Amino acid sequence: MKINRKARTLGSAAVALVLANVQPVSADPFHYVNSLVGNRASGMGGAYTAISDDPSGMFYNPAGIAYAPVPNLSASANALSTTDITYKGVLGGQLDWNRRSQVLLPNFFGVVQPLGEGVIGFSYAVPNSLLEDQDQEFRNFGADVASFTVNLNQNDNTYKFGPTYAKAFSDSFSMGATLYAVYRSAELIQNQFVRQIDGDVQWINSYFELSELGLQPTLGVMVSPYERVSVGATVSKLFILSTDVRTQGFFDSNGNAAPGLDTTTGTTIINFPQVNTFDDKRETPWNLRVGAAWFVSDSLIVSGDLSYFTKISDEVYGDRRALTNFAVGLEYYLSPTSALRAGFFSDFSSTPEISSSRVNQLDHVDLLGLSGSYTWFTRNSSITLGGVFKQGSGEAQLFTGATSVQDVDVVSYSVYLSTSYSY
Amino acid sequence: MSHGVQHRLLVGTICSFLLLAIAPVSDAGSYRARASQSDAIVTQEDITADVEAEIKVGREIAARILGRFGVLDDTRLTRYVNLVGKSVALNASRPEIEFRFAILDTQSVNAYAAPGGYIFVTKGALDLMQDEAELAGVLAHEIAHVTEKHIVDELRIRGESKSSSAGIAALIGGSTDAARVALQQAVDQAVGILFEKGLKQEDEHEADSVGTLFLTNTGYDPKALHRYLQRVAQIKGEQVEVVSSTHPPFHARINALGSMMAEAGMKDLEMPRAQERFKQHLGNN
Repeated sequence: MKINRKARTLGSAAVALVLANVQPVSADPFHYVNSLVGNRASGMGGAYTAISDDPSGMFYNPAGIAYAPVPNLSASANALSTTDITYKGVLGGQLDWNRRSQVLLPNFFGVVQPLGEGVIGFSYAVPNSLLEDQDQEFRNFGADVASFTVNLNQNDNTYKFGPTYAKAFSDSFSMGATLYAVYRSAELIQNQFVRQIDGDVQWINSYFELSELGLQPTLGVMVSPYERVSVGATVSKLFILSTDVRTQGFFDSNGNAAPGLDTTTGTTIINFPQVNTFDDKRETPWNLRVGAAWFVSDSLIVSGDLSYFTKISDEVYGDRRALTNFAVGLEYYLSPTSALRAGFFSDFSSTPEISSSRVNQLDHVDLLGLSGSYTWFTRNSSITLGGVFKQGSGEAQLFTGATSVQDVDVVSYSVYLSTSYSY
Repeated sequence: MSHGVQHRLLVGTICSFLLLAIAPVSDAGSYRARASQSDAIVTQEDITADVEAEIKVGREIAARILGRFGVLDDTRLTRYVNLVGKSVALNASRPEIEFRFAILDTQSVNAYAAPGGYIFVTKGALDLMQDEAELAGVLAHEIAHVTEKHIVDELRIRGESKSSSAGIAALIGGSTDAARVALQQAVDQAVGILFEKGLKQEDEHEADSVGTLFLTNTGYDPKALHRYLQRVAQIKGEQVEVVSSTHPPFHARINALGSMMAEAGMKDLEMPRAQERFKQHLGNN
């Protein structure tokens, strides 16, 4: 996480390429489709706003659970999620720098049941999760770098849990609301050590820790304007109630570069070995989501979603642009006991496009994704095996204070096993 | 996009949805049903599990009913009611269910059916009857609630599948305790239906019609239930409040049943009423 104002890390010496602007990508809270949740929705690329008639509807469109067929218990387990990020030719103009996040966790659980004239439910979701833990050493590259060691440990998880209530006011109109309590915990520890051929060394160590508590209400509606057509919409926003940030950074050098002097820019860099804390809250966007689904038959559904996020101006955590993601999905029953699902979706970057005339800009990588799943059914239960693949290319500015721009590729894939059980 | 455009887009979207919400539309609940929810997926194992679940829930409901009223301590009369009831049940459509009958020790005029074949009739109802055919008619009405699965369908009572994939799903989903809670909730809901809310009117009308068919097939006067309902309708007073509040209006039931019998040609049938045998068993009380 890049903090522009208070956690400025040290830039690079002229001959040493020190990566100082490490940022998360896969669990970046402003890549809005980090993980798909729900056994059915995940296979359909998340195009679920106009369907949502099972427990995962509490996450996508709470109005949909008013049409859940029976009291239903659903549990979803992500088997494995991996994201590979490649910064091309950043080491001496020759070598790529690779980062990998790999995490295994259950990312959704939900239960719904009738209550009076409506339906009540409770769900737990982990839409963002990242875990990086890598140690790398590079030797003899660039003009005079003998060795470069980088140790990076980063985790960033967002947990959402809370109740939902929905009511069908007629056979074709329902409304619902979900209120999630949101907890985010992030930590980044990096250590970089450069030894030049002439014996000079440079060492950077930085630590960043963030915890957030908030509430995220989601209001949803579902209407059926035509036979076998459903249209859904939701509006949602995360309200952050408290934030706690701790940072610490240190730079040392025994070389010609004066300690504290960035020879590339000539600016004075601050050493701060002491722990700094602040509690500035992130600005968050409004999210408007609309979707349509055509229930062609009891064996085929085609659906599509558009998800709009508003622009953000945030001088502490960085501005975010307005964007619209799309998703299309399909569900087809091969037989009453088996079904295939497929989806295609976007996960555009909310960060501004990188300009070569500015410095300290956030990574910008637009992603496109494919998903698919296969489900086995019994009368009361189902088991789903599925996968999600995302890929994209973009740009980054890895070096603090430098206008140079690097190319970056991102590939993300996950395999999940999920179940639903009704009674 | 400017803030003004964004605001207008948001307001326009909301207004569009409100307009769609009041437009003539289709039944969302019907077209959402998926192929996996059809009867084609039901196996013989599922059917067996359903019956087991129905009996389990019915036993719990029966215990609640008995706890509320208590059972009449009269072995001879109870045996008589069981003989009449079981003879009607032989002509019902669910041979896998063993029907059991008991008399509730209360002067209120009512009868109850719990899933799984547990049938109850009150002492007050027995005192209002004039012949064995009317007793058979009331029991046939309650048996019809069981054979047509009115409460089972209302509460969506289903058994747990014994297949391996269902077991895996239950294991991963941690559903054992949740299923137990769901069973208890089903019993609570059923008691609420029986004593307060009542079944749907169409279910009561169906029980009248199907029960009359059972009655006729057993060899009793088909007009017996109709006659009994007419007599109850004439009764005023507190003891019939429960049956009135949980059932459709009597005149509606009487008219509907009369129309059904006329269409089926039952009104002209002269079949036994067994008045003497009934008085012999009730007369001692």
